[in-house]
Amino acid sequence: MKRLLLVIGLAVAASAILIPSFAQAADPPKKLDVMLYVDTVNGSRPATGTPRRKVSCTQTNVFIRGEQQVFRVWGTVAGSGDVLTTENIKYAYVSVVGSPNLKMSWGSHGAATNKVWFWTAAWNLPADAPLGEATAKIVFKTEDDTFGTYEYKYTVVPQLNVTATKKVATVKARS
Amino acid sequence: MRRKLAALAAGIVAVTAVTATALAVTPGETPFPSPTIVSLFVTANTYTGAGGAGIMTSRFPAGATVVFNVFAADAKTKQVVTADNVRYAYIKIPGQPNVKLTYLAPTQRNGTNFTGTWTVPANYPLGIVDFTARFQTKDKKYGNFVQLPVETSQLTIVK
Repeated sequence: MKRLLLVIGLAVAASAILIPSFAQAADPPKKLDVMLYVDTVNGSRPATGTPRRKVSCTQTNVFIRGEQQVFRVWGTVAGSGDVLTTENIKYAYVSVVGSPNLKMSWGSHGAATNKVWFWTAAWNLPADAPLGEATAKIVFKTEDDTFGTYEYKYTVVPQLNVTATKKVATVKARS
Repeated sequence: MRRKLAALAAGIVAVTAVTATALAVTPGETPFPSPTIVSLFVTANTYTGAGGAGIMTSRFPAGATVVFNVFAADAKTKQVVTADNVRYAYIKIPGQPNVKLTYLAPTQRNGTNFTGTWTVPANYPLGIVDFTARFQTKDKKYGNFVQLPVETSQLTIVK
């Protein structure tokens, strides 16, 4: 009888542990194998005929068709703490709507006196890019076969006749 | 003396060799923010609104509200930082009181888990704002975020 009670007790305890973990399956994990920073900037090479902004390489997640969107990423392999480089990454890409995957490149950027290395991928938004919010997925696979992913939201608007200031919000609202 | 110098030199060579192997960094490369993150991994992005309502931008006029969306995790244990294990979390802005960051349950992998807002004073100087995000956990691990050193992409106060 004692043994039966023990088994029932263990079963109840196990269910108490397991049920919340199933219930939280949709939540993001509390531990990560690869940690990522992601942003996008407006590139200096928009498609021909696409108006250029006054300043290039400003952070923004609002673009018009034909503009160059540059993904910038850096991160670390959790556990070792090593920053992601070509030494520990098998492949890295950005999955976007309207293009084959964009391969991420490891390279140096910034002022000549203070160049640092991080990952980038650039593309020009297609002329028929759907207007509205879109999600790009950034994927890194390490040499240890662990993955880092990031879902990055950006917005495509019909026109952007101002620099990336507070007025961008107005443009977005109009779209 | 010569023997001591030789031993010291050998020691430096050995340490350098071990470090180079351990970090696996290609000579001539300067990974951002450093070859290894030994404690907390911290990132920050600036938005015009909270909770995904705003847009990401690095350019704000005086009077605007800057929303800092921040992510912090332990680079060794892999654990995402929570309200329970953080001792302090804030944004340091030159000439301004620190902006306290509050916990926000993340809704996606690598997603925002702390946030804070700063209203740019009317008389704040135009130009780049060299802000940092600073964290300490209850088990005394530290982490900082600094912006990528690409000037036009850094937080900037514009007319």
